[in-house]
Amino acid sequence: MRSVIALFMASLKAQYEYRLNFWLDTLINGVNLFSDFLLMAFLMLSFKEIGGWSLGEIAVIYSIVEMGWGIFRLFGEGLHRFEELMVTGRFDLLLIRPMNTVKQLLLERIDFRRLGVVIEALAVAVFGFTASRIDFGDMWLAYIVLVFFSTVMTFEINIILAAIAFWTVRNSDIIVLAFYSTRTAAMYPAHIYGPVLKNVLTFIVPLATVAYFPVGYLTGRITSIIALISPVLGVTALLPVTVLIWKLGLKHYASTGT
Amino acid sequence: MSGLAIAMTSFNRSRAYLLNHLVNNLGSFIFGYIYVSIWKAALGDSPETPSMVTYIMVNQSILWVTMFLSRGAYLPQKIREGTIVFDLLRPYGLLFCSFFEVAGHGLYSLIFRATPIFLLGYLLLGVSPPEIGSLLPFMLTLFNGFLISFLFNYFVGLWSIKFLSPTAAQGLLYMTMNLLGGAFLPAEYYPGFLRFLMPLLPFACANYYPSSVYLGTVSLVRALVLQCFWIVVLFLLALYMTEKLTRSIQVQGG
Repeated sequence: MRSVIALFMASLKAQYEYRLNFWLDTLINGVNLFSDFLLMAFLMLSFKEIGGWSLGEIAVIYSIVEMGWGIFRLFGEGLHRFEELMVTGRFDLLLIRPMNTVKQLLLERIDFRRLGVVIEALAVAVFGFTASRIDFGDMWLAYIVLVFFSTVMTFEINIILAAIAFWTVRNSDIIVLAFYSTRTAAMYPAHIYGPVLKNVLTFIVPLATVAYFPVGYLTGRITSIIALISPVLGVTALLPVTVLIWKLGLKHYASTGT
Repeated sequence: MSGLAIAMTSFNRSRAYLLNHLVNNLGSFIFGYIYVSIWKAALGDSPETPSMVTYIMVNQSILWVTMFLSRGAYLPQKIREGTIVFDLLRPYGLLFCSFFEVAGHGLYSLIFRATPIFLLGYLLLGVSPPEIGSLLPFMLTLFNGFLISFLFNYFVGLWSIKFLSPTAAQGLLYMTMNLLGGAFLPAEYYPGFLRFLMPLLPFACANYYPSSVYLGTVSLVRALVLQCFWIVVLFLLALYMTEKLTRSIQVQGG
């Protein structure tokens, strides 16, 4: 625990050294992603509903996915930039330390500038709950639970994608294909997509299980109880896959040298 | 002649990552598909739907020529590594050198990124191919869109000469282009005064005008007048700022 606190403080100090840059980056990180939501809001001034969902309801699923991403970027920078460790051969260093490699990656750097994303996601959620007919009190509890699942799933998916770099060395374009695109897709009601993408979001990169399905159930749009427990199913199903692929990758790892 | 050589080198350098880019193209196509799905869900069976699908996918394809150009026209990287000194030694200006370098990459992106994404849209999403008469006007406005985007990226590069880190300027540029470029939303869907303001701003020159000319919803003359106006303004500003900023340059790396 002591090492965790020490690394936490080191990250904070290092980033706060360039104060203006730090605040500017934090602000821009949040505002930047907010521009995507703003465009959606502009669109929905002309159309009141998309696939039967109001802007407020879309804002809630949007925020759940975004918040998971924001928290991941806060702690998962080492995983997100895993490619660099592979290309430079710096991953060797992690292997010789007496600590789990994933844990080390998570502790490598805490990127405080991503708090901008977290705040943005929270603002979108506040808007969503205020604008939609969703009941305020209990929904915040549900929101926190769903954000938890969304965060865990984002970590799982990104550990799998990082592990792919054990074979391919570079993985940033695979991340764009397998995660960025599905993350964006999961921010909107999944039934507006064709069967292929909808099935991918449900069974392969199951981000729809942490936002669209449970929120759909809570707002009465989806009646099956499976939709409510789908976050547990999704996260649990992905866990052994994550562990297995990471372990296989570690076994396969051959350093590129420096 | 030297400009072409720079452009060719940059083109070939980009080509080294062809396989990565092809994987990325698939991701980019899915993004286009997401936006197409949103529009289809919003418009329903409206007669506007097919043209909106084309609008979105044309934009999604040309993003690689008009929005996602090389970060800061390669300048931030050169400042970090210190190689900018070699550019400053050369017998032509920084603006000239950056332009051809980005142009080489832009041409590569047009062939290996924009075209495959467009073809996927044509094959899988029913995007309308351009009419013979509008192909040339489209390419012309696309080139102008590229110029505008290059100049904006160049400003990000100049920012990093002054402030060393490009992230803030880069983020700001991305946000403004995203909000006001019109790639997801054509001008008529903007609320209130933005509906009139957005088509007058330089950001709209990058995406809104090329794709509207493609569809024939905006006249070529109107697009060209606005694009050329902004190109001249931004170019003069770029010249002035290059002159001012390169007098005192801090090189970081080595």
